[in-house]
Amino acid sequence: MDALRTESYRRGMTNEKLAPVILFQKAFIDNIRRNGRLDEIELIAQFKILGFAATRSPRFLFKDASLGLKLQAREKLHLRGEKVRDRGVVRRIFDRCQNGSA
Amino acid sequence: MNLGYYPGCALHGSSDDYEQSLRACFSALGVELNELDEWICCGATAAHSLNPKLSIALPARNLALASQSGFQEMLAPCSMCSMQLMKAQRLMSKDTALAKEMARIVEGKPDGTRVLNLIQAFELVGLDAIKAAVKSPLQDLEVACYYGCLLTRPPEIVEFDDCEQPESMERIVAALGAKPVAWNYKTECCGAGMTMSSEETVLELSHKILVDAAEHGAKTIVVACPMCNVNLDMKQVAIEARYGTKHGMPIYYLSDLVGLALGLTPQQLGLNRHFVQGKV
Repeated sequence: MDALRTESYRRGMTNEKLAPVILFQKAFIDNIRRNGRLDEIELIAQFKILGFAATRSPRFLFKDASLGLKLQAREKLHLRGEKVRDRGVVRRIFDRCQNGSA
Repeated sequence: MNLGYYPGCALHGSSDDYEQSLRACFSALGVELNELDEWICCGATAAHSLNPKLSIALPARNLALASQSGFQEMLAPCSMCSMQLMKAQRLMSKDTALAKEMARIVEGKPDGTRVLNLIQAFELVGLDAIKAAVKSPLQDLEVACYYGCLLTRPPEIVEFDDCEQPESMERIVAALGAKPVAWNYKTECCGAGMTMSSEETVLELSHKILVDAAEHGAKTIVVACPMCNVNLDMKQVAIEARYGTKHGMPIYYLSDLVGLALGLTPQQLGLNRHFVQGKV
């Protein structure tokens, strides 16, 4: 299933209905490339902005806004995400896998 | 006992109540968790959907760091992380050319560490040792043990328990004095990482899990994965609104139940940080 999913993404033949899922996954990968670890706030911001740019839907933009307050009340919202110290090695791993560079 | 520890992004993010629970619980069992220095994300669903090589390289980097750290065993309490680490390990063990390529890509040799999911970590401590440490038995609490997709699958990768009818979590909760129920949805998917990108999928799948657990007499569901917890606990109010029903089903991490039975307080385990509050 992974092989089919990867191939459909590579050929640009993904299901329109799943566009938000692909968008989320791309934002996720970009985030890891930058930080080494997931920065949840940054990921959500990027996902929402890209999604809004694609759909022009205010509902998409604000749908999960109340969740932030609920997470904050449980001390689950971390405004500053973690980054690894050696982000250079993370970028090199990504370059080698995405571009085939040495 | 010392145990290597790969938290993964969720346990250092919005699921840090899970890490609070784990640390309290393992400390009470005399196990010190040594966090892997400079660990990076395992790539999760995004990497294996978009770039197969990256989905091996990211876990392989962590395996190389674990090996350099001299970890014999390493707990990965998120079932996505543990599966991804095990998968990279399995693929490299079968393909020496891939192992060599990965060593070059990740700038280290990824071998020598056994990856454990949460249930396996408790098994390493030992059921007898856990049973002997119980101070507050769970008094026949009816529990649905939920494994989700990734703790037992793909079976050729994780090589853990029966992939369709697992029983390992039931043995642990029974050792605590709880009463595991027989039910149908223990290895069904909750929607995993689609919480935000495909909410409707998560609501539908998780609703079915909550309904089946209740129909089989469960008073609570126990999980061993942060994503399962998010979808069943955090999204429960949205599920109730979507389906016009009231579940009110508390969701516990396995370490919560072990910790409570060991005599730890709900606050020590972070239970006050869950969305659906329950009483054990």
